[in-house]
Amino acid sequence: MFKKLLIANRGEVAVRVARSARRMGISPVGIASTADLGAKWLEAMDEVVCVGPSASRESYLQRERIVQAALQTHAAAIHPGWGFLAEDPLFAALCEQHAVRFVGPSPAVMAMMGLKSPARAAMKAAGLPVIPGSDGLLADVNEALVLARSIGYPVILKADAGGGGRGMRRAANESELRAAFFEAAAEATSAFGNGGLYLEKYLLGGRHIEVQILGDAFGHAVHLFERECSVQRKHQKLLEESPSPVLNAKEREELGERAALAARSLGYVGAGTIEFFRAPEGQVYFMEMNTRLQVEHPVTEMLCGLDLVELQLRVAANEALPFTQSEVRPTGHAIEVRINAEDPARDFRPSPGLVESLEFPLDRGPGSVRFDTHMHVGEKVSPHYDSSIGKLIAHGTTRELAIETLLRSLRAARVTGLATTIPLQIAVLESAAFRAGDYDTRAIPGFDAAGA
Amino acid sequence: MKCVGSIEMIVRLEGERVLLCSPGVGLFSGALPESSAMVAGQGAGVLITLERRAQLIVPDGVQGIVRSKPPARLRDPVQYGQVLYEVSAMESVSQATPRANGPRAELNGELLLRSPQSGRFYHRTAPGEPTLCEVGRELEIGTPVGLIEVMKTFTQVIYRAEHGLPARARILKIVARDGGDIDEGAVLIVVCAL
Repeated sequence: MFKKLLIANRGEVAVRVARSARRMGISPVGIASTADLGAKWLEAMDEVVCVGPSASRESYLQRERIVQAALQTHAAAIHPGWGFLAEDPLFAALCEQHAVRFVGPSPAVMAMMGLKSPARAAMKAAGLPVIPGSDGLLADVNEALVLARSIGYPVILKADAGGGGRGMRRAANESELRAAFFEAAAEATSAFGNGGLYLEKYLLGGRHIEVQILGDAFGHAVHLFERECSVQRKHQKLLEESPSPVLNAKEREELGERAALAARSLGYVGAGTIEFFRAPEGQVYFMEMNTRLQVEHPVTEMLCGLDLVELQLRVAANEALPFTQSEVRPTGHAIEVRINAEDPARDFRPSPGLVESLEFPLDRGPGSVRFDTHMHVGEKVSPHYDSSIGKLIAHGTTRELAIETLLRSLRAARVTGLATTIPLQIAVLESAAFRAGDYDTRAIPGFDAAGA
Repeated sequence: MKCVGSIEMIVRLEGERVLLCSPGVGLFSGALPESSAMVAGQGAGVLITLERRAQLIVPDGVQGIVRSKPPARLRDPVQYGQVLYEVSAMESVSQATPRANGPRAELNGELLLRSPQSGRFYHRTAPGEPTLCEVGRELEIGTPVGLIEVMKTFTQVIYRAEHGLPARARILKIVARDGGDIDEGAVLIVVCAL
């Protein structure tokens, strides 16, 4: 196993990865921008290398500086976390060139699956149904307009290099598409350094269900069941749960097997997620694959009793998967809510500010609760990066108990100094629609009636 | 090994001291010895990042004597912003001093379009797109005048006839820099009624 691991990320992501590394006896090395120097989360690291000024482009996205940082601190591997360079095949290739192990799949697989249009083509070729849309990248706004006319509105633009909803825009008509094209391209360029867009028909009223997969270097691949991620706002997930309340046992098994088969056919090494769209009538389409750990991975961890970061590190160190498919035993139900510094009452306007208190009681039963965060009282949510404060995840023997546990912790939470998504999450969990498992990506249950 | 490029060091002023800091991450080698003279534009060592060598250049306005010792190691691992040299402040740095009077004072009586939130302001909707902030451009209700990025989320700044602004206006002056950080309420542009 590696002795030292460089974590090419910041905040909650870096803290999460460092926790597993330390547990395995691996020394975590952090990177930081000048804006993050002095932040509490860096205390999770044994060493820190400053890689640039506050703008991500000049620090957390600086491939060469980061690989160099690993070399000069003698870190044998780099964990990219999620976001930033996690799905950048150039970064993975650069690591490989300099004999630093990239914790993730091979650059070739990343290039194919991480970019959405080739991934779509590959999965189409593999026989998975895909959503009607562009076969490659859009050359310009005119091509988008022509294609949208032929497949019919509404359509959705997605950043080829995208993830986490960045660079995604929905359009119901030509003028919306024109405006959306430029906004999405700008957002994608800033967030990923790649402004390439593709277009798909926007399917209404469906569910976003994703399957966690895990493969090793010996051709084994398993699935760790699904996560239901249909509670979204502007394609940003707000809440995730597993099992999905909409799948029956047979559908669940089929979906998992399909995803594992796809991972096996790719020769996939590492943790990944295959996202599916499930239409109200029950058809399932491949949407995209994320070749990295997801924000919502704790849902799967609590459901299956596994540490996904540990498994990623083991597989990256050329160990075989320590279990087979039949040994994966999900129990009960897990739900995660994302706590962001955004004000739901003011159109989710980011609310960067000083955290005056931050308390989530973790002992309110009947289930168990986990709070993943990097924030500390007296710290500021940085305006330079995303607005995440943390994630609260509950596990119970049934869905009802998981909801109840999460609600108890959220209601007793004390977070002051800034506006957060807590009131929204309480409203969702209390809503009849959510309780009934009757929701889709169009509207946030308990919050808005029409479109999100 | 030849240098493939050159890169200016970062200047930091700490009281009387002038500090030249690393503009990247890598191995610092070829440091000038203590008591060497240093002038702007001169090469002062090499930063090696992934085996690529970039010559470290003394930035504009810096002139003086090196007061720091070179690192003990021939190839010293450094991080971004790490101090490489301390230079005596002879007539050292002619840094532009920030103007005491911000744009606000001299804009008294003009019509000001202020930022609705704090973030980073962009003059165009995408790199390569034409600028929206052009002196003389006419604005009416609904005209986009730029883009604000807050936590990686982009929102268009739309001209609206509010806070005393007229329904139609012309841009007189651009105050907020393209790509610059702005606070809520900061002046973005100055306009006059049409």
